[in-house]
Amino acid sequence: MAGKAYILIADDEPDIAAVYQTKLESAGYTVATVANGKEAIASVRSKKPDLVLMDMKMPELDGIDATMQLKEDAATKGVKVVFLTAFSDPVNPSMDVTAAKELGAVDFIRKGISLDEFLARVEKLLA
Amino acid sequence: MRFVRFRRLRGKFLVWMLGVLLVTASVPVAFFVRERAAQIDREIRLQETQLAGIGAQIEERFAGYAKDVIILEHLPAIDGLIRARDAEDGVDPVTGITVAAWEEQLEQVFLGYVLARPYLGIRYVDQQGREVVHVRTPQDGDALPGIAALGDISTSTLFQEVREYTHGDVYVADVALRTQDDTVVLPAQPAVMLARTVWANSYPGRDVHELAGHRVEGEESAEFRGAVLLEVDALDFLDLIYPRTRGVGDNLALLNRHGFYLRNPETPQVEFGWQRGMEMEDATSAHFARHIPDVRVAGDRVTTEFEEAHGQGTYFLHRVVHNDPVRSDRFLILVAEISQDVIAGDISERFRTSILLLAAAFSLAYLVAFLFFAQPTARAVMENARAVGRVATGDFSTPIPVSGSDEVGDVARGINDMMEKINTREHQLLATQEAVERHANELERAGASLKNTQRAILNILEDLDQEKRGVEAKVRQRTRELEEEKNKLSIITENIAMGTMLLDAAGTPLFTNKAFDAILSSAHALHPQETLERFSKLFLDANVKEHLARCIAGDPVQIAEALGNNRIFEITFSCLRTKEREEIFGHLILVRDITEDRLLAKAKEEFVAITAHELRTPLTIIRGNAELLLSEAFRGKQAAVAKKQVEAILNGSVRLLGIVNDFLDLTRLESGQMDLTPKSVDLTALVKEVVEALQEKAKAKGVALVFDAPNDLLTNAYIDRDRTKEIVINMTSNAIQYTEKGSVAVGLVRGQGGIEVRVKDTGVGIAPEAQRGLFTKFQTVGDRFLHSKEYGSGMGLYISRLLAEAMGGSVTLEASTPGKGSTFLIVLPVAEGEGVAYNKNRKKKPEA
Repeated sequence: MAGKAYILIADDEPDIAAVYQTKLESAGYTVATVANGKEAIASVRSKKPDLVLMDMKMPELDGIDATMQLKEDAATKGVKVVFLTAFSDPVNPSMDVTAAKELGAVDFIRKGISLDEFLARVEKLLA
Repeated sequence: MRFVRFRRLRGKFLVWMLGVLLVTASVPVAFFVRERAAQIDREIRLQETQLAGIGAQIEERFAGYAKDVIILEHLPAIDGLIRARDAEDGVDPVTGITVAAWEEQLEQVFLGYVLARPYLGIRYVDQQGREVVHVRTPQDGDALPGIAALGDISTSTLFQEVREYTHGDVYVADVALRTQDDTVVLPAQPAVMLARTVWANSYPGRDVHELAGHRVEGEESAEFRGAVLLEVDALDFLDLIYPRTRGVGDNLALLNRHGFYLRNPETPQVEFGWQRGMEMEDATSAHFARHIPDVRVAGDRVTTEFEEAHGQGTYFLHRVVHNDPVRSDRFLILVAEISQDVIAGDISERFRTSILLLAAAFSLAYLVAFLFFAQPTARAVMENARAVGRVATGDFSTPIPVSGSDEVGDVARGINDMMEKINTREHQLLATQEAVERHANELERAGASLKNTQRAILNILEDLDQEKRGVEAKVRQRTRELEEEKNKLSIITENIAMGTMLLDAAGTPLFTNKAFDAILSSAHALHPQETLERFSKLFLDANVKEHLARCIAGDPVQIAEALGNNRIFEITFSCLRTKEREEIFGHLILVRDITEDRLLAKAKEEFVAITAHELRTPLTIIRGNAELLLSEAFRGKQAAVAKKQVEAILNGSVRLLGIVNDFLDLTRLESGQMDLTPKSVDLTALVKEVVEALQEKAKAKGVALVFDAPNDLLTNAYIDRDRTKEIVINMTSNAIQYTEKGSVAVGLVRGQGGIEVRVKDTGVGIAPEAQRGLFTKFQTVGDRFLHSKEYGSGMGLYISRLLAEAMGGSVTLEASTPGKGSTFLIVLPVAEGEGVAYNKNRKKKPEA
């Protein structure tokens, strides 16, 4: 059952992490949160989640670097990473699924969509 | 004596024979020579065209570098970061932004560049050599190493060199190559170099790598405040060029002042077809020692030279692809080497055989002819010769005895005729002499009467002079007035901030204003020739003659982006024509410095990106929490009120997020950067999907939402699915929003210009005066006509229009009657074949 899946949220904004955590927990998922890329790597190494929701811009180690490091390590290579981002650059609007995949993630979710849509996307990725 | 005369005659006969031989023989010879020349010419033209294409690509690449560096150099985020780092409390006194926040923003800007150019890595290193921000090439998880891998950066050669850069210089340096056994080899000299060696380093695991850097200076003083370093994967560069080079010459080479080059040897097993830094073969090397200076002096980049190398039987085509107008040691020349044999091999062979055969045939024919005629003619010739001897002494009266009817007899008859004519002529001459004497006397008399006439004319002229003096005074006054007008005009022109050059109809400069002289780095007006020279050296893209010719042929010519002296200019060429006769009497070249405009546009884009990010984060928190609150039951007396309030918060945040997204879309669309992926899409299914999704909204308003399915099967549309869906949603929900009762009908038909989607409502309609500005920025119909709870950002129609246009379609208002309703028409292109990309911004990645 998808509801039993373990999801890790890496976001330096605790309020954002809390919103997504609450929504996911209400849907029955087990959720842990970390505040930067380094913590995310440590957390994945100690307990492998079914899905990592990775903010792209974080202090210490950002989401892109953290994802690359996860992908370089054979032990953590298989973990599913989804970028969770408010990032958008009008000059280079190339942040789409293709770009996310090039960076090692399976998908990206833009912040600001409705929580129901968010949940639907997560469920689809875990299915 | 007789013998000598005979010999002379025979000599003449032989010369005549030889002449006929040559004339007859030269016809086929000329034909073959022409055929050969034309064939070589065709071949060379073909090669030239291909070379021009490659040259243009390389140029474009370097121009791209230059533009990136100019823009990267003036990043507001770097200035802000420097200010914040200088401040004691680490907060930028101008904007109040902290060091960390500035770093984050700079990183975001860099990231933007890197995402769009997957071959790029960018870092900002401060004046102590500490790496402040580093965004890496996210390619295949393979990254350029951090600053630590470079050793102590503050003492490295690279860093010292960057320190000494002139503000704004662009440097592209080392290219390293990984050989088949996986070792990385560095050339003794850099392979492609626009400047000095900046850095020779290699990265294990990277095949080829280039580096460019530039100096960052403080805002007020020009002190060294660090460097922005660009790392570029040069494989991309080679990969870009190589497919185009097949078939051009035996060798294609890119040379710098050292003669070191990249080239495509024929060996197909070499990956990417390029080797670098190879020593040139002796012949090639000697050739360039002789010719590079000439090619460069010829100056402009389109010079293509064709020649036969000394004794080598090789043709060289040259094309200058980069020629720094300021630094004479920076240039790149593209050279194609074509072996003569390849072009002209079999033609030469055929040509030689034909000439030999022809020569043999003609020689034989004339030898036979000569032997046959020469014998019986000799005696008669001797007799004639004697008579001719008499004629030579001046005796024209004794005719030559005519014997026989052969050619010799003909000659004798001819001489007799001639002598008779000479006699007649002598008589005529005497008569003429008498007549001339008579005429001379008559002329003397006429001269006397002419003198009288002359005197009369002089009198008349004197009267006229009086009159003239009055007219002259008037002309002087008018000229003075004109002079004043002209002065006013030239004072105005002189002080216009835009560089202005006036040329005559032949293209020779007549006048340049101060701004123009300043652009050419001169304090005063230059000699016309020098003006043109400096101009075409500064703007390599601006071949004045070529552009003026184009402008004479039709519309004004404009170069939207010309780089020179590290500034960006816009150049307009126009023809000055007389009003009445459309005759060209001169040309005008206007040069506008648009560097600031570009920086401003860049700053605006940066601002929108940062603002969007900063707004989205808190809005996500508000929206998320409102949604979470609503999903829980409200209890107690105030429950209903509280629920309404939370709903209001939710609606507000959703609307704000919508506006932020609209702003981002708008910025992308207006700068032509919207990323669209066209595919063949079933539009009927898409529209149906949208109608179904909006049923609830329509029902809530009591409006019937109808889908008119097409009668016949429609072809698929060639569109970006998500963006088209956005347009249809936008137009349909707009219709629902402005309809209070009645219906909204959405239907499809195959029209002439593509597939037509019609959205027809029975709503408020749009007044004629409001229709005009409907599809422009910030226009809402709604707030003027009814009070709705929902207000758009005012950009929906505008964005829909821009999106449709970007996909090759359109959105228009087909009909509208106030109080009765409106019909909007969306037209989208039919899918006629896959792979017709209309989006040029998307960069194709090399296959991994």
